[in-house]
Amino acid sequence: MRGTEQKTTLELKLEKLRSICEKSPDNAIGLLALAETAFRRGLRLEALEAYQKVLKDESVAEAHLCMAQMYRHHGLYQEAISELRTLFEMEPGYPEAHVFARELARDTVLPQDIEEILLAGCGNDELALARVRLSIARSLVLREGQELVAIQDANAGDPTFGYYICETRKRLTYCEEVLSQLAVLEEARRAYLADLDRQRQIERERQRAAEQPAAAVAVASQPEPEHETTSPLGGSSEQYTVAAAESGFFSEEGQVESQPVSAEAVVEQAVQGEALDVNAHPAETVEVEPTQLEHAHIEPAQVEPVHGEPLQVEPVQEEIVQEEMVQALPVELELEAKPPVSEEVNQTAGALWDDPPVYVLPSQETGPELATVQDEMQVDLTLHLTPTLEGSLPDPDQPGGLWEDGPVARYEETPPPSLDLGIPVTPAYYDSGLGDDLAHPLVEETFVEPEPQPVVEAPVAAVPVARNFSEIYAPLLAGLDGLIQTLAKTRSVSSVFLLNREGYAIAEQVKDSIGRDRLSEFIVETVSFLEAFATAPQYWVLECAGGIVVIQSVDSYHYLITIGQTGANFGALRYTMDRVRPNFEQVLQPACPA
Amino acid sequence: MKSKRILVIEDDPVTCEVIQVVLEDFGFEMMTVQDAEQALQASRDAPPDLILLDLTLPDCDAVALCSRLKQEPSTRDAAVVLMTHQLSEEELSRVVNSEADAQVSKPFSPLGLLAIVHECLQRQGTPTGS
Repeated sequence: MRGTEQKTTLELKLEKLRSICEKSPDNAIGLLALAETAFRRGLRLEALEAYQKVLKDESVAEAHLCMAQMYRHHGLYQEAISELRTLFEMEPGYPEAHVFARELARDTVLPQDIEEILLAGCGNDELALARVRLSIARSLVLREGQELVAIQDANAGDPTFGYYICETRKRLTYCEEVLSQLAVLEEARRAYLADLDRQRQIERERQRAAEQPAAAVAVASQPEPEHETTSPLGGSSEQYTVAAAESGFFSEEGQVESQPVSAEAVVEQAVQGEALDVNAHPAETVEVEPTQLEHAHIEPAQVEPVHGEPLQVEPVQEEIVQEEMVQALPVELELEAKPPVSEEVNQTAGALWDDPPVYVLPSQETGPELATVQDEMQVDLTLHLTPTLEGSLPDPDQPGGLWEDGPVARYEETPPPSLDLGIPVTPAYYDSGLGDDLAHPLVEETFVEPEPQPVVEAPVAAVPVARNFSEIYAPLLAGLDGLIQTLAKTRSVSSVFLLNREGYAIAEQVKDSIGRDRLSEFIVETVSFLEAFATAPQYWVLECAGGIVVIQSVDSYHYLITIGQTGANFGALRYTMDRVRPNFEQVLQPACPA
Repeated sequence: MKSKRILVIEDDPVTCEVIQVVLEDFGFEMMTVQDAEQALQASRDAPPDLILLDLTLPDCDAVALCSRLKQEPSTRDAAVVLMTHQLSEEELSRVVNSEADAQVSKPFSPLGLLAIVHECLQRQGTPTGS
């Protein structure tokens, strides 16, 4: 474990807050502080538990936001939306939530109510306070990173800090991104307010136009100013016309549908006293012919400009509009024309499917090489039997043959050719040359059975003698101990074992009650079983309420088992394990069986 | 730069401790007291730059204490932030009409508290701690 001098301010703060929350587990302010600190440290599980406790009784915007972020991190988008909705019910103008919702919109479709809230944007005060919050968060993260770098420098070669530094860098980048997004929110808010003003103005003009139909013609002749603003979801890159968007003028493809407007239609609408939907017309000047006005029984002199001053219309940037249009056009995928894959190729290479095994179908059009292979593989099924007793066997058609019970077959007078069966045959008369007295008596020709020999068990194949592991690993221990200690430094890791496949514990750092004997049994019984599921896995993680057990294969023969308590940072653990694995592999190379 | 001094008037010791941990982390010098008497004494001994005042102090009207602190020579320049719970309309009216510079609702997140403290100190022209 690192000493206090080797801990960052954030870690020390986390320890203090943990201690406070252990004493008073229901203090919401303490839980919130613990959750936020843990979240900043990357301990999401701890943060989640603390936030959940707080949210049982209280509703805090920041807690909902962090929960939503964690849900998104795990791909639980609906849960994230639910948290976001609760947050917006409390604080619809919470800027960090607006930024997050825009990010979430990249992953999933946001519901209409949230989109509307995003469109309304955030107030200036809210944005100012958010900027302060994020600046504070940024400075805290920056300090954390600086402290980690200093500690890492003091512990050269220890990869544990690398993970935390990477994570801190990510959080710093995120803070900066959110800060920069606040400017986008500000811009969107301005555009939204400008649009609201314009809508109100148009509404007033509609009312006036309804009262003075002739004047409405002049209203229609005013070009509609187009304000470029940012999309509530797409950030600055997706620009569109507010008026068109507000009036639902985006088609599904995002194209602005310009409806052709004729002067006749405008005049007719005006004559009939209908409120002109100025917003529905594209920004173009409607020229009213005098004849049409006459037809409408309206004197041209009566047409007066509604606006005292001409509207300052900002020229629409054609490039942007064109760009939008280009983006909105349906995309035609240009697929590279490829020749159709022949069935034969598919079958031969198995290229289109990963799982089915590669197989070769015999083809009539095999080339000369394949034909040769086929020739070689042809099996000659003709049996070349050596004639043995065939001639002496009874005729199966004769009664009493071998296939039927019946009278014994007559054997030929002539004895069959002698068969050397390897059995000594004593002749009927044997002259030993020793005289009659000592000569063997006449005996009948008999087969003499060999003396039964005592059965001697074949020698058992040489059992591989267990390797003397202590001798094998002794010269490697110095290098291994340092690596094991590095792993054991990861927070909440209670034990680390290095074992070989045969259950021999090579090195260990034990801080709990799990002994090496149990781990030896575990590795022997488990690895082959687990390998049935995955042939070359990097990790097996067994997770339970009390903690986690991670098995990592160092090579095909050695395994690292790391045991962590609840709250163990698996991300940090994995990072460290990945970093030290090549070192383990290198050190263990001499002990790895061929 | 001299760190800013913050006086916390809060009867709940756990909340006091949490606030202390959070603000000390940002370089503020912290003083914590649990009632009005201690608050006045502490502020005379070491005038704070900002006061965090719990609205629900036992045997003490926090709004009245806020007014008094604003009159005391040692604390009249200090920003007062009222820490409130869910307020009734009557309480809200009292808080709005009080002399407090800002209000923060309990339970607050550390960042939320820090942001308000920073804002109040900025308004006073005294930048935040380290």
